[in-house]
Amino acid sequence: MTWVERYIQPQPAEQRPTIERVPVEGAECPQCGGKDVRRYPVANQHGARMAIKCQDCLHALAYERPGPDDGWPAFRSVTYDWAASPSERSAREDLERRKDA
Amino acid sequence: MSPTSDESSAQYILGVDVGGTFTDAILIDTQSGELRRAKVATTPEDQSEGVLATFGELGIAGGDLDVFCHGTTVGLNALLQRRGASVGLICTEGTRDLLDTGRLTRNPRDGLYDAAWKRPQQDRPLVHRRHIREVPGRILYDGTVHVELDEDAVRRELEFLREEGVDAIGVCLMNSYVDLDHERRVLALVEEILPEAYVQSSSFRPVVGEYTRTAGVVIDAYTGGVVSRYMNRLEDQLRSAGFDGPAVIMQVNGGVRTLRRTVESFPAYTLESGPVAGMLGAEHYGTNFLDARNLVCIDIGGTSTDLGLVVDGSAQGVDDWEVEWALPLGVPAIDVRSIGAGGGSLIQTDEMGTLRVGPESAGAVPGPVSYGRGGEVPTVTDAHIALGAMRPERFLGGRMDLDVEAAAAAIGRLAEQLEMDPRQLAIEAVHLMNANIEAEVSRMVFERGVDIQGFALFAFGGAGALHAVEVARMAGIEEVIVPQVAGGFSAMGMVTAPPKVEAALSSVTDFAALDLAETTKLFDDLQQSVEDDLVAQGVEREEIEIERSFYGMYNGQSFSNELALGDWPLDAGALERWKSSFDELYDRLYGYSAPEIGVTITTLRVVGTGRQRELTLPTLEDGGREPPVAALAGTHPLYLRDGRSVEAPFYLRSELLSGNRIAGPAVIEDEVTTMVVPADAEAAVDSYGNVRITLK
Amino acid sequence: MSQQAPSSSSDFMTSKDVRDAYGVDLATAEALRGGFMEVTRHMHRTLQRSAFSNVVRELLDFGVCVHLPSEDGIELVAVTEGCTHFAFTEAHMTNFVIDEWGLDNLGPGDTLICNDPWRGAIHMPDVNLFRPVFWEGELIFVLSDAAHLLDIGGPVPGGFNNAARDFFSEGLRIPPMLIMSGDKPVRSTMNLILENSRTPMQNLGDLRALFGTMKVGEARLHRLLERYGPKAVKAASRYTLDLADRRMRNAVAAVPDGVYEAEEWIDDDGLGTEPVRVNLRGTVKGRHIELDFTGTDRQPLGALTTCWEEASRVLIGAKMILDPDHPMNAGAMRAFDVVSPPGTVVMGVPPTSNSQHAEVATAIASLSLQLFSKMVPERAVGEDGGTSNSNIFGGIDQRPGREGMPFGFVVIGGLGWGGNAGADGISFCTTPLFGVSSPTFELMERDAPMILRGLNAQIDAAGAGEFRSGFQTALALEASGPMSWSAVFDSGRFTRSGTAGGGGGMTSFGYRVRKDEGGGIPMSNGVVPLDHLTPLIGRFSEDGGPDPVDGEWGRGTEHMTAKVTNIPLDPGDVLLLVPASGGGYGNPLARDPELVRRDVWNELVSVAGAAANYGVVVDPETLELDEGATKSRRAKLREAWQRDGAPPISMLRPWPRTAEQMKEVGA
Repeated sequence: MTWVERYIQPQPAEQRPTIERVPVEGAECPQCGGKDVRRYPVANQHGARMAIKCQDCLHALAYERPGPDDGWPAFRSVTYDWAASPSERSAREDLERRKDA
Repeated sequence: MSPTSDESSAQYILGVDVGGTFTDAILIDTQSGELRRAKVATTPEDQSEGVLATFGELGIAGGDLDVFCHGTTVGLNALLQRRGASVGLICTEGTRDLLDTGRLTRNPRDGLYDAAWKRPQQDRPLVHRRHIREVPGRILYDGTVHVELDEDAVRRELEFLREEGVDAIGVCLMNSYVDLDHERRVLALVEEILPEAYVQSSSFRPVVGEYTRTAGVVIDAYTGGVVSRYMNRLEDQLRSAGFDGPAVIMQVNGGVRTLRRTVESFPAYTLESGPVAGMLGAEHYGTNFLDARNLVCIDIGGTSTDLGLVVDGSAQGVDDWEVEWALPLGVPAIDVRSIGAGGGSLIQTDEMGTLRVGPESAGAVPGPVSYGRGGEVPTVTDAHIALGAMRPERFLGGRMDLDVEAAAAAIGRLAEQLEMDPRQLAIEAVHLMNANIEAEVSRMVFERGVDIQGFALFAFGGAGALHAVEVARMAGIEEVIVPQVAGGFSAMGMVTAPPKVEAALSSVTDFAALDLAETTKLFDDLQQSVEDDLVAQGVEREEIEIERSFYGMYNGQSFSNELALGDWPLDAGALERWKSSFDELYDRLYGYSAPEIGVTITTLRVVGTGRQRELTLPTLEDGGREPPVAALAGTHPLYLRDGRSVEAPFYLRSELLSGNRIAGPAVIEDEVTTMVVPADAEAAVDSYGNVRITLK
Repeated sequence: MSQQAPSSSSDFMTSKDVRDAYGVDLATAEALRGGFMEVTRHMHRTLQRSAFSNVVRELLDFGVCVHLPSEDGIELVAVTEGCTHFAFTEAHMTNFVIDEWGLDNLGPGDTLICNDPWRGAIHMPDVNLFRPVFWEGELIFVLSDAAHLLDIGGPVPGGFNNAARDFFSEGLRIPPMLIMSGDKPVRSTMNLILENSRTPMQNLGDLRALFGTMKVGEARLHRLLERYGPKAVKAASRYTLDLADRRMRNAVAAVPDGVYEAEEWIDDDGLGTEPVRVNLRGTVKGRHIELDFTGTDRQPLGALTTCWEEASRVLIGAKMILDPDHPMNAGAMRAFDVVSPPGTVVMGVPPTSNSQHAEVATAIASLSLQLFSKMVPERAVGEDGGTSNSNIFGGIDQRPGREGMPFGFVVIGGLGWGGNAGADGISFCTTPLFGVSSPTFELMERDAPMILRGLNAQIDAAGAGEFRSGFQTALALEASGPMSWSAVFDSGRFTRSGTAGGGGGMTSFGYRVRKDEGGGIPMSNGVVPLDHLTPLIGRFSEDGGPDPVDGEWGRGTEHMTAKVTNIPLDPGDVLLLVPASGGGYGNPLARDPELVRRDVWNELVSVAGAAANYGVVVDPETLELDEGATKSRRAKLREAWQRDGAPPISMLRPWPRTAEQMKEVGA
């Protein structure tokens, strides 16, 4: 997804949109031994996450922070990975200076 | 000050406060300062029996008395137990469900996720919907008559209510604060059709806010008859006992009023009279006998803790006091908050293993396990006994046996379930209750924008002194004061409270466009009615102190604040000074002011106060630092907050003398209360016998 | 009393267990758990008292929270809600904002602001502030507070632009920005917000109140940190979260494994489109539930969309049915994963508008309650009215002495909740996700040329059941000057469902009302005769009466939707607006006849309504119960309903045509 598409997205073409649950090759559920383990976007108590879950018993093998290719959440700003400017962290700098002193 | 009226030259003043379990009386000889106390069981069927019984206990006859002061729970009990009048309410067309709407609110404490929760008026109505009758007729915000009052309809509805057998009528119409004409016409018809009914209407306080006004009218209509009947009966009994002086009753606004005038105006003013009297007592006592004008007050009883704040010598008030959720009384009241924490608070766990102290209480029956009346769940009192702070042989002056083993066993069972040391459980349970009380204290202080530096914690009520020092420590307060009369303090408060009457009306106006002459006239009229009321109660006109205030808010707001007018007569300068204090008030309370936005005045208020009674209290002789030998009752094991056990000296308060100092750890006992002085504190006895505990 | 708790339960933690797991005493953990709640109560009270605008102070549209950051993310430890949904949305939003800004970039006294729905905000008028709390140089907590500002710019005052098709037509979108740096307001941010609003000074007052609220929370947390030390405080936060988690999972474990499903239909998006379907599937496995919105319709072109928040608000049903008595925190969210495909009506993608977010919220609350009611039938809760029924009035005052002054007013009449196992639903309430209050009408009448003509329980209009729903609210308002009216109503096309055999709830409808010559309106208990009414919104029968079953959507109405924007009103115009009622719980024929008789006595139910909807026969003169007649009537109805499938929708029948007929039908 290009950045501009994240800012301005069209209304979906399909009447009832879906997400993809991507199979995780070779994974096995440690809880039930199931082989149908998939990775897909969810919201949990931390907000947007990629869950790796057994589809048989719903055990979560892991929750990952979504990466740039996950398209989750649907919007993310272009500056997301940029370093903070000095003015945006001046109080923090003050604190660290005091700690050092 | 020279005595100018019967009341102020009175010698023997009796204060009687009726509580849930006990009726407390204090008799004060204002000339000698002698003070006598009595405690009898409350007589719930007819509280006046218990009141009169205190005469016998005190060994006095009605004829000996000069003034009788009173606090009662008659009205509050009738309301809480829904044993009030059958009320009919006349309201404006389309508004019969106003109270049921409860302004749509849910109680954030217990109603938020519970689909079965209902507001009290919907669940247990004070006035049934059938008896709320709408009448056509509509006045607008500026007094314009939009729809003429339909008197035939009023007549029809009143006749319906008569057939229904209601015995009280409330009248509250939309915008009646602007013009009472429609309500007056309704009242005239009530007089004609239901002449026997108890009646209340917006005229009790014609201020803006239809919901609050209606609630106030209905609460008074519901309780007024009960309270009036009680007071009439009491007055008769006092008279036949030979008493012929003034009989006054404590009002929620912090003043007293004669029984007669109370019956004639707004009996619901008495709903919280006991707790309010306690705060008033604290206010007076602090200023006159402690030289402490800033107090956090806590009154810990068996089931609950009442809290209040005295700032610069005055007990703080609130405008939005609610009897129950979404049922505001609609008159200014002294701010007394109550939480479910007391000696009888249950110590419990649940299916998850949490630890909870209160709000459930063992109450009077079965009471704490140690009372041996069938209680099985340990209470805070049981915890104190297990820790050694309360000695069974001294409890209530030794008049009651305590089952120490049963208390220990109950705590032991819970401790075993939680895999805890029983002593540690007792310590932690007391700490949890202290933390609950401190949280409430803190919130009250934050809300008022008060800097608590230099405040003292004033502890009264049976259990107050057991918890006060730790609560003070958590709240950052350095001194705890336990007054000489820790029990029956409310009775003392009503003896010292001045006669007080308030009147208010709404005139919603842009402050910048206030008309000086017209506003002065409105204030003068209010003052006249307040003074007449006080004079009718026997107060001399010239000794009445008048305070005038505006309620104001920044334009566009809907929540107004009261601020007194410092200057009188009203002129441009006075208004300017009021406006700048108004901005300062906002700054202090809310952390911002908005001088760039105009101010709307909503309400004008006048408070008239008679003279406060001067008391002389007996003083103790000076005994130097060292307590007399007779005061030391022995040493006993006492468990401290950190779990250590020490052999602590126990002192008898009755034997202590002025100037005595006691270093912690120690315990001081009297008939009603027990004071724990921790290791890092010192207690000092002052000349009035107050114990002042300083944290190091 | 819960004294004799089974210590064998695996969820029971003894004091020793707590010490082993968290390194603190049980009592310390409990004192701190209460302490965190108390921090938010301090903040709640401060914000409510100090807020400048009525929206916060009287409508209570705000929330305040304490959050605990950890390696895995941030969790909401304690919240006190003015408006319930903040307990859910703030948990996610804090993660969005802090994750993007970087915890390591925040210093003491910094405060961030954000109102972006794609970062978890509810709608743009709600500004959310976030402030780190440091102790001895270490960042321990994040505080958040949120409040609805009066105006945030855009073409429609107040921000509810039902006609908007994108967020550019709604107001100022504020991504995470510093609004306080080292405890000093950041002027550029302040100016941006004040200069893009119609109510700059009110916004300034509210922002200052939000700043003050943070400081109160911080001071109170500092006191806890000082008293107990940072190690114990952090441990107790984990205890607090884990406790809510244990309780919730315990309740989840009691739900039979399986797949449960529920659906809701929203009328339309305000542009007159087709109804919009929202679907929710719950898969229960042991102590975990996956909630999946797949099957939900795509976002429509109009403003009927939300952009993230349903991913948290959908837990309202879980909270109300599985663990209603415990304070809400993020621990209670751990048992759930929510799947929500982007592009659906509950996960709209930019640049869609979300002015009608409240109608999505009410649908989601009903949907979620329905789903969890299926999981735990013995604690089922019937559907509520399912609409926010917000009315926004605005214009320029022309009354003498106030000429030229702009005014704006929001009026919400409230609605009835569904009946539930053991109790009738409350009347005059908002959906469980909200929690707002109504204005002081006497002040409204002064500040705006509006007159309250009625706020009544609509007679007979409560979903019938063994436990009935709350009643429909009939709100009658008169314009005394020219103004415009905007409104968001839903549940106009579809009746609300009953639960466990209960009757359905009445649909929403609205009329214009003609006054008599003297200015009077023949009106009682929400009923005005048809010869005084002109259909405005809703489903009506041929004679113009409201008819939720056979009536036609939009028959004879001015509008083909109940979501309208800027409808002009002239002086003297009167609107009668009636949002839907909830559904009943259990068979109405099982309702205690005495309770029915009491409703008749209180003029909430007509004599005919009692007979038709409950099979209870009450003497119209004496209002006494006829037990014999009730018995035979109930037997007859039981047969008929078995044939027809369900109890009827409870409403006044027939609706009177003239003032004279009002008495006859028992209105």
